Amino acid sequence: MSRMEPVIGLEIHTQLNTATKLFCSCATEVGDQPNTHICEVCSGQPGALPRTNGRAVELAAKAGLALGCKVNERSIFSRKNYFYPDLPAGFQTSQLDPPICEGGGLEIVDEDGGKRFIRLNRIHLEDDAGKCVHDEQRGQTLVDLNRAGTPLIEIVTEPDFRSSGEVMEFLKKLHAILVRLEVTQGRLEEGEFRCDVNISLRPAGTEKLGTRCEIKNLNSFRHAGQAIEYEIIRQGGLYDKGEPVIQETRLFDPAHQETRALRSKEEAHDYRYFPQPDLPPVVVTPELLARLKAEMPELPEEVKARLLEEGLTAEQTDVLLDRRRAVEYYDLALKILNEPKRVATLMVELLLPACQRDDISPMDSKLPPEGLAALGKLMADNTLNRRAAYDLFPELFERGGDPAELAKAKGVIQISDAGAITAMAEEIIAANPDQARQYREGQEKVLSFFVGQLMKRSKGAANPKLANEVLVKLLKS
Amino acid sequence: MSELYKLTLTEAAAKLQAREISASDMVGDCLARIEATEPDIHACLTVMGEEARAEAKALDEKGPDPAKPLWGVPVALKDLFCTKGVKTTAASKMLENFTPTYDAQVVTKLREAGAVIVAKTNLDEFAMGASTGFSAFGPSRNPWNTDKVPGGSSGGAAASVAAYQTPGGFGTDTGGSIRQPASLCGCVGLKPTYGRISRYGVMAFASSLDQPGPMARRVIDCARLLKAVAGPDARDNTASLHPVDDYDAVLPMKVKGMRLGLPKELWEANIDPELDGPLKAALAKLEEAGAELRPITIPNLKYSVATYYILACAEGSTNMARFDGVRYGHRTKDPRDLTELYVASRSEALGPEVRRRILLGTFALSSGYYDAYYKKAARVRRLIRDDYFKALEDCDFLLTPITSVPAWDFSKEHDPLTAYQLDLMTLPVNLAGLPGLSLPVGRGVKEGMPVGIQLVGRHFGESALFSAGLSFEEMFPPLL
Repeated sequence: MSRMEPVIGLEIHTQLNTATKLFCSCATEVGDQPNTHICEVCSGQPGALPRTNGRAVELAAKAGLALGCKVNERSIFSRKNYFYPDLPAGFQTSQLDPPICEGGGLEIVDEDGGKRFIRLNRIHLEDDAGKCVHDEQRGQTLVDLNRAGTPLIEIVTEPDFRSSGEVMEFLKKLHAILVRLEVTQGRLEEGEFRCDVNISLRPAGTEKLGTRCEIKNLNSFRHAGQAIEYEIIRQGGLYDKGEPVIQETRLFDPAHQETRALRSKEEAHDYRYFPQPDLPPVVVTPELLARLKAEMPELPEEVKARLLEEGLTAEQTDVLLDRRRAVEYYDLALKILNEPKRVATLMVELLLPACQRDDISPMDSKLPPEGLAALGKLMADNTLNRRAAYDLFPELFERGGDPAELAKAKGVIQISDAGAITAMAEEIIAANPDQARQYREGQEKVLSFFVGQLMKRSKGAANPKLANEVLVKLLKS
Repeated sequence: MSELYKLTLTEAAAKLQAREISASDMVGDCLARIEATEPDIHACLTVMGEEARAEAKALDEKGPDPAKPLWGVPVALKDLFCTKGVKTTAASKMLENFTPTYDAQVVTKLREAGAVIVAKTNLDEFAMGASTGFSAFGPSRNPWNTDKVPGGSSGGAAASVAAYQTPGGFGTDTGGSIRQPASLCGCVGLKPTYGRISRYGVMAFASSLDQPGPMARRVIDCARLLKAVAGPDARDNTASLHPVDDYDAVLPMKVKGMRLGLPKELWEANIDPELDGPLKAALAKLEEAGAELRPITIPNLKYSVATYYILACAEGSTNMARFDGVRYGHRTKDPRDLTELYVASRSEALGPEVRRRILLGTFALSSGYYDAYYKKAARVRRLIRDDYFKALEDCDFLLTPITSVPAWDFSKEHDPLTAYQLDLMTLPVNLAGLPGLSLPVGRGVKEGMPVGIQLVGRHFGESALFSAGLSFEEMFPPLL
């Protein structure tokens, strides 16, 4: 039996980063009481009409620009008709032909280090459905429409993937780009970035596609990889036994690490797509496109190259890229203190862990980029030593304020005055004759004891380098 | 003062502004008239007596306001316009107990203009029909002869205006639903250009064809009503930004030299002798007055009924999908599962014509049939639109009958296919998105029922249409 090769394509649903829904002015916030962010439009009341959120159109176009798509000047919304209790109007408003963006793609590095270009088929705009909550005890299904009408883009790839590793690599990269562009907030746990996987097997080296299955609603990169691995084995097993693969929709169960059939093609809907008559075409004018291009920020690849060039370590670069708005913070701080390594170190060691603990972005912290830069500056000009700076940080993070003033108030301004340090050192040596003798007898590690004492005496403000020099000089004399 | 209800809308508005009569008197008199005539006519599904009296009282306390041109004027609204806190049924069992949470834009605008809504009028269920015979709550009757239909689907509004219950009202027109009942009841009715009036809050039948419009006893009354509600609406992306003219300030247009295009396909259709005489007499009179009657052809007109019913039913089938028994409206008792919840709720509460159109529309959009039906119809629609626009390049207006038959007896309702064919004169105007004015030109030869004629104007040519309507009104005296 020849080796079987998987052929995989993705459909990624991303929630757009807008304050209001796609067709009404209800808030897109999550986590509130059920049915509190609804109106006659998003709850499908008779007579209500949709109106397109221009911001959502801009974000979709922006995603298209970043992914090398052709952004259509004119696209249309269509109704996708089916019945479900979480779908208030009895149809989803989506795009069929033409969508807002077509073509494009993204280059990834595969497991062997080779470069692969994954082609996109299209990106289209659509609204999300609500949510059904099944109350088993009371035998009821409750409907929450807060999410109904939330703007999404669906990104559809060509079947260009040949392994789960490629898929995970692609998803990570795509996620980073969309978050960087602020097209989406990309919170995976909120389902803001979720994907459907289409997968089939065929004998390696052949062209004809096998029967595919669709695995729905994977909201983590890891689950996507695991589901694909499982499917490759399951479908491979069917081929080995000479049994047919049935075209169907499957769900991945992370607890049991397997996929299960949800519905087969026979039960598939006829969506009866047709142009949505309540909405005029979606128009992206050349002027708008030009503005979006001009506003386009650096993409993650480009940022990464720049940060490395600025002297950051690979590890620091990855952390800054990984955290939301960290690069933005870094760039702002750099405008005040042009010491990339120092700024990055302060962020990676102090700021970002604290932000992660409080679940905020660095841009939302009480210590603005200017403040962090000021702290770095105090270190750079020897006003603060490292320890004092690190000790001041928690308070600056909690309350904000000017680092220089706080340092002054706490009396931790670094003492770089050789005379003052010499005076303190002489006192300490006089008070500890035994240790002084040990040092002179060759036990050089006793020096750290004297440094410690001196730092304590100076409340940590002594310039450590100077303290070292003075102590060595005095002890050896 | 007595018999205020007989005043035309313009007369009433003037007397109200001049404080000759109070809003309470005017509204009270119309409510009394409604009470007296309803047993015979059944034009209304909900009479808003209490609300209307309270609103009139509040208006009287503040006094007339020239900025509110409809101050104190009672109006009737087809029960398809959502009224916050007041039951809105679409004449369907599905919405028998449905109360909207918001006002339609037309309602908001009417209130801003000082009008008082006194009644929600009868219609064919969800505006699907041409006689009010498909109302789930029983048909309305033609005030000229209560054995006869008032037409539809805005038949309740037409009957209300013709029975002097209200001086004016609003209907909606998807394929003739304002113009045909206006004609059968002897009123004036306008189907405005698509997009002239916001559809927000009007329960949708066919989104790309539906258009609200005024009905009254005089042309100028319709102009006043249109002026009050026309214009853009941030909540309706299909409402036009086209400027709103002073429709109520237009003067009669000279008939001499008026170029009237007469589509042969419509005038040579099989027109009932009851109407044929009065219509031909009207043409002769116009010609005598110097109008230039130009026979023209609309090549694609023969496809318009098929095109219309495919598109309207397709859109309608999915507009009806929200009536699923989940969030509001009728829900079947104790369904076994979700499918039964849907099927039983909809089967129990939607009437035969609505069900028929949902089925037709669903079929036309189905996989494998879409290209042959919906897509082809959408293409033909453009051709028909082009035909009408082209015809209006050389003519000031098109002049056509409204129907080929006068108001018929309740006992003689048509089979669906015949009924659809009867929309031939009006529905192409919706396909073209143009304005059409329906006004009376005489009465039937034997039975004496009103006979109407239709003037079709250019895109957003409502002012010219009213102007021509005023001169027609001078030649053909109002019947009411």
